[in-house]
Amino acid sequence: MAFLNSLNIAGSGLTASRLRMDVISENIANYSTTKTEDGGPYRRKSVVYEAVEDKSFGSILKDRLNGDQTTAGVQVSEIVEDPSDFNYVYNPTHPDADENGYVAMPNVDVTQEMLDMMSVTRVYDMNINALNAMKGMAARALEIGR
Amino acid sequence: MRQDDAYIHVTKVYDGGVHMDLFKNTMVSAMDKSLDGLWKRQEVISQNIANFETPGYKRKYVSFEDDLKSALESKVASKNETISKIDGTRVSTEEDETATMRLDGNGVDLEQENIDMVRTSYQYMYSQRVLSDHFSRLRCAISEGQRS
Repeated sequence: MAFLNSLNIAGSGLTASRLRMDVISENIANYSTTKTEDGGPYRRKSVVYEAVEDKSFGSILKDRLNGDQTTAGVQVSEIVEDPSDFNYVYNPTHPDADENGYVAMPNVDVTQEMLDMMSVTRVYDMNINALNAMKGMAARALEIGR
Repeated sequence: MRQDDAYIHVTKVYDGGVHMDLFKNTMVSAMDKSLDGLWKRQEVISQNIANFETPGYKRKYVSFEDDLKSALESKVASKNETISKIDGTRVSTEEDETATMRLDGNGVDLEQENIDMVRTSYQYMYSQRVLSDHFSRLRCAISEGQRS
């Protein structure tokens, strides 16, 4: 992997964290959405991360020669829906209430989302730290022989 | 890589019947390797941090110091052999299978990675300084001490 491509590792972490943050925002925004395109209430979404390997020819050749592993960051492999049960709330006046007066509300837990948001923020900060550390090292490498 | 004829011609000086390479001695080679290894380590730390929330991801680590140390301490006939031993030192990336601290099987400790990141940065800075100082001394000798 080329010199400054190393910054892409931390970059991929930032992108993935941002996407997760978007999904969390979507969950919170749809906290009481009872109508979706598929019909039925909104289902909580979450992202699945996976580690990426560098699949370029040069990188694979280098690995075979040196026997070490590639590093290429992280990516979001899919966004999945939470299959857990909806929250049923008694509200007979709601237009989506069933014959017993219960409304199926989305299975979004705001506390959970807030916790996730905090952890994403922390990971985002750490990725920025990693980016800055590599940037600093690259800048210092330029000082050799100065 | 850099062993083309022009390079050899420019950097090899005739010193009392022995060809000496100004830019390729044991110290420069060792520092070169150390910078390479530390860069790779920082890359792997970035990878670990980026995958902090990937289920089942195991933390990776880079080792090269022990190899480099044994290359430096090896008893061989000539300096050139030591240098080629140093240049042949492997920077290896391995996976830490045992480390699991969470339910999702992820083995990354964010605090530990943070500490390692800072340490690697500083080690890189030290190695860089040693190399820079070496080249400063060379420059000082070339300019007869008029300009450091």
